[in-house]
Amino acid sequence: MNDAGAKVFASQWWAQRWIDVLESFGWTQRLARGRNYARGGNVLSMDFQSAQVVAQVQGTAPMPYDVSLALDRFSDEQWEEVVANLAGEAIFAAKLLAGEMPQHIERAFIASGLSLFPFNKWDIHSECSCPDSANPCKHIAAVYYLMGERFDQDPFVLFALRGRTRTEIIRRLRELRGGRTEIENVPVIPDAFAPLTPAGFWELTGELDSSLVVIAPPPTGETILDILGSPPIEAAEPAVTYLKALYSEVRNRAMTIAMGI
Amino acid sequence: MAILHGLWVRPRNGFFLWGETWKSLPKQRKWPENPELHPYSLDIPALEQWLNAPAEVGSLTLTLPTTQSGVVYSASPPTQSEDVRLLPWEVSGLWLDPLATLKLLSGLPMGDSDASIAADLRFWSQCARWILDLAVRSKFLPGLLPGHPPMARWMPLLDSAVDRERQRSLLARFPGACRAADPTLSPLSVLDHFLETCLDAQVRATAHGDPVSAVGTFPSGLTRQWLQALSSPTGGLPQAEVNGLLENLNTWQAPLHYQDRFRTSFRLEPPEGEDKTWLLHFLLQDDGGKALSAQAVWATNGDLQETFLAGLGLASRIYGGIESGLMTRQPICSTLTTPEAFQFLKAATWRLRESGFGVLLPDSLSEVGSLKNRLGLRIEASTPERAGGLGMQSLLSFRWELALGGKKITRAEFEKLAASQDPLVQVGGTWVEMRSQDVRAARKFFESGQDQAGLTLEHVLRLSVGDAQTIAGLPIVNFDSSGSLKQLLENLNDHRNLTPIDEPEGFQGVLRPYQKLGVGWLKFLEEWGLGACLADDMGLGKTVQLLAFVLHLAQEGRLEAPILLICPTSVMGNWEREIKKFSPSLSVHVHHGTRRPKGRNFVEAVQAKQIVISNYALVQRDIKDLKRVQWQGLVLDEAQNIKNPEAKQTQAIRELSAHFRIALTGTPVENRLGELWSILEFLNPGYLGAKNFFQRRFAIPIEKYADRSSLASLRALVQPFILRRLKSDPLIIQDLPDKQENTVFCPLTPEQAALYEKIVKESLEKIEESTGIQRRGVVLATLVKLKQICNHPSHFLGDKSELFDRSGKLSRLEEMLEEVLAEDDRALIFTQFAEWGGLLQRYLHERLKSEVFFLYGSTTKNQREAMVDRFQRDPQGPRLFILSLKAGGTGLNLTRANHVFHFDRWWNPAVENQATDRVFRIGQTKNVQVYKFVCTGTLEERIHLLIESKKALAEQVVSAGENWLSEMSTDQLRQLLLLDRSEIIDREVS
Repeated sequence: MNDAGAKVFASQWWAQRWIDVLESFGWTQRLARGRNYARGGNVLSMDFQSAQVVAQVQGTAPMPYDVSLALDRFSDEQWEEVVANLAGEAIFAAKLLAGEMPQHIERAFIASGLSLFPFNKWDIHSECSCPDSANPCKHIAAVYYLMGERFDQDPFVLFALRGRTRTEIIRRLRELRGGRTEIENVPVIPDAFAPLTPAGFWELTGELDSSLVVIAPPPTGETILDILGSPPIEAAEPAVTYLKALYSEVRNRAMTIAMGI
Repeated sequence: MAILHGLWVRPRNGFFLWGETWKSLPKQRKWPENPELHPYSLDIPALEQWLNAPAEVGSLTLTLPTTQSGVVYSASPPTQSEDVRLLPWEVSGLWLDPLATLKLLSGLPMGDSDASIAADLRFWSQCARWILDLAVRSKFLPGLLPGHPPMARWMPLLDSAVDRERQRSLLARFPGACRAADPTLSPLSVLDHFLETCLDAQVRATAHGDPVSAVGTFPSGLTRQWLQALSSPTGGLPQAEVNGLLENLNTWQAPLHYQDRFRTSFRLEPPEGEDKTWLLHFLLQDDGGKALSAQAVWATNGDLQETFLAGLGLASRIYGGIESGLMTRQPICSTLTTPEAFQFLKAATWRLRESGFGVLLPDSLSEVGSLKNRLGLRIEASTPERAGGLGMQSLLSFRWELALGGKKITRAEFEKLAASQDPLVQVGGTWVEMRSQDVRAARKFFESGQDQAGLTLEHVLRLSVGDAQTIAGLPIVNFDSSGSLKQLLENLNDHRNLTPIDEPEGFQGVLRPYQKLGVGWLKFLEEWGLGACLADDMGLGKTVQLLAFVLHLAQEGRLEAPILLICPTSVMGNWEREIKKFSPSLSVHVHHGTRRPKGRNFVEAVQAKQIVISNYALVQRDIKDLKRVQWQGLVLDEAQNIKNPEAKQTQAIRELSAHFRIALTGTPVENRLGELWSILEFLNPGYLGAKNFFQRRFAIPIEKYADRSSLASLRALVQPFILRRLKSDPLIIQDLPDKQENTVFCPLTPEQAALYEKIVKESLEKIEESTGIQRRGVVLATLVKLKQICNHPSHFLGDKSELFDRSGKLSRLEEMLEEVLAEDDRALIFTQFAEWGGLLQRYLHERLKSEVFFLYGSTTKNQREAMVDRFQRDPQGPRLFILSLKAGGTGLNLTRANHVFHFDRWWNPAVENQATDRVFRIGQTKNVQVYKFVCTGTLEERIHLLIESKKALAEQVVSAGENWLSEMSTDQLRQLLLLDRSEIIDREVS
């Protein structure tokens, strides 16, 4: 279990924010035990069912405990106000469309007297089937930590817990801009081509694009992976580490072939 | 020679390699109804041998241009009037999988230098190069295709403008032949499929052979399955339920798909007036590059806005400076400080462009024209009055002024701008970059004084062709020349304005107009101390031009020291004879043989001479002695002999010093880059840079990738020093006679000489002892033996021994045929000995890597017709044709050849002329060159002289064949046959 010791639950600001909020409530002892549970793999399953998280946590008893967790949903009116605030600054839509959680997203909620992240412990509604009467128990705490990890991959789960998906927000923003509700698929440019003729059949006009003569690696090691950020999939972090190493190996191999070595 | 073709076949996921080889076909007069076997299709063993890798044998129906007489051979000249249709033909070939395809294609030359690689195959090799570039630039993404099973696949990412342009350009050039498998498929879909399949295979193979095998230790789950499938040969996932993963991956990559028909772009606007704020405007460009301003986008309905916003969001990940501009509802720009603008230019611009965003910069800050905007010098250079003794490294005087942004600045202005330490400065209203390295170079330039920054003639030459760009590290932003320097540059770059030189005193002969120009050109370069390479086609008279030039020097009283002429051993005798013929007034020393003078004796022997002839092998051996003499000139004949720069003889030659250097060669030296470098390095040392620099800068881009811009730069650099006229040039043709006869004098090797002397001695004894018919028989037999020895020792001995380097004639023939082939010409080679023809055919085929025909008495009528047909009609047929004089002397029409070699002699001009007339007939459009080979010092030369000197008489004498020889007295015969030992090839071992 050495690996688990190094497990970081949050690498992105929003996930870290979730953990920070949690730890600010001061349940130090129970959170520490919950963290160990999370690291030890005691959380057997965790599903996001619209605005609710349902998990199974292995405790000391032979049967795992059922944990459920939910945040206060915002009402439609509240969401309407939030989205209107989001529409006021283009950066929110731009970042959401680019798959990123805008840094100051909280601003849009605070302006309507709301908080995207839980503000106090009564914002978080949790239940556990364990005999421990304390809330949060260590099982619930373990789920908190794993949720942080999940937010890391997909920040928009947070929206879902508050009652709106990213797509719904983007759609509403679009409506506010006066666009159509659904973006049609970009019309495919008809792939028109001339019929084959015998004229010039065996000929190649023009020469190799001069930019292909000398194939050189780009000035930095940055790749599309850096631009897109982590994919919202499980084990995203080791996957990206693996892919980056592979990209660099692909680059080296292709260079070798291109230089004719 | 075979022509290789290939095409990507989509349904098969593979590449089909096939080939053509020309053959004579019976005439047909009907359109084929069903797909017939392609008659020119190259057989599988030949293809396999060429590919030299395992591949699956298969066949394919291809739709190919066809006339009523059958399928069109791809290298045939295009038919104009005929009815050409596209009809299916059955072709056999080899199937290559994607990896093998990439391997094959990336090894092929991409230029058209190799005629056996057809255009369609070259096209795919260019596409393969694109794939490598995508792999190097990491322009691909891991993906997932739903299905049963779901497939993990690597997809190319063509979001950048440069890749879109490549795609567009490749589609515009898509050869019809690449669509032959299924003309109903669009070129785009075939190209995309090729790109996707081969890129996937390449990345997958790298992942599979995986030094990064971390996947094995992943927590089990869908991510692990997906990554494993991305590196497995098949790509299938074991689990069918992948919708969640698919959706997440789509979400992840979605931002990229907004950039499709429209792309978000940025325009940098420099501050005006006192304000120091830069504006980075947001724009939306469509496919055609038309740009909408942000205001215009906000005025549209929401769809364009969303594309725009997504682009801004993605771009803000690449360049954070955009975010500050996005804090309003409808943003139009970001503001940047000057350092931020500099950082945007340096770091963000290419990253944005590489990711498919447009970036528009003010002209003064874009890469285009960056040189002229840099801090640098405007220079006006001149030479002192035109004087001798100037050379490549001579310093020129020049005037300069400092400039920035294309405008002159004073020293004080410079100091003020430099003191600000701003990377971006404003000069006369224009913003330009001031590079710190340029500032440092300028300071150094001022400190050291301008005279220290030497401007040489070489420098100026480079400047004038756009090769050199700096002086003492400072960019030269503008260059002008005046006076005689201007004249020099003009003349160097355009030979036509040179003054031709008429026949000098003592020249025995007439110079043709182009030869007079050639002499003037040699003189011009010699006066400026520049080395010259005269590379006229074989037969245009390089020897004559050189001799006229030497005589011209003598006439002007400028021939003060001897000229060393280095040539292959095989042409030394030729030179000696040509000098005697055209410039008998020149004193000559031939430096070779075992008794050649050494040390001080050598210096004494050559000092008073005007031309000293030696050969390549001896230069290395006698380098010490040769270095004792201060040569006026150093001339290399057949200068391709120094093509290997590491060879000892090449290095020895570079050690010799001389006032002028000239190289003569008949090979198209501009196309043989190794040779070109070596020759230029001899003529003008250092001009083309060190060999490895030259390889990287020119040889590899030109030879492997057919890079036109490198080729153009190289041409511009060397063009002043190479004069090459072609026989086919209409201006030259009108100066030339239709048929030129040349005698080629060749030496005997020591082995030949020993055999020759032995036979002469034995035969003369026998002849003395015999009379009548018997004597006549002995004489004729001797003649045959001696001719065989002159041809080759192995020919005489009949021992099937190795042929290389044992016969002077054969060495010379090989050298000359190399030139014929290099010029894309065709040649006939006549011999009277069928057995020698056979030996020669094998030898030439092996040495010249070129198919050679041989026609002699036993050739059947069918074979004969097939050979003649191919020689005359096959676009890529053999270019060398050996004929026995008896079998090939009459009745054939071989007008495609324009060179005729008589390897051995019949001594009857009528017979030889009849043979020559195989090419010199109706239908011949080129000038015909006839070469008669003669071994020096032997009976061949004596009879040749006899015929040449008393032509009329000789024709009577020899018209009866060779019988007249047998009528000679023994003494006369002795005179005729005895070997002149001074003419044999020197083989002293050092």
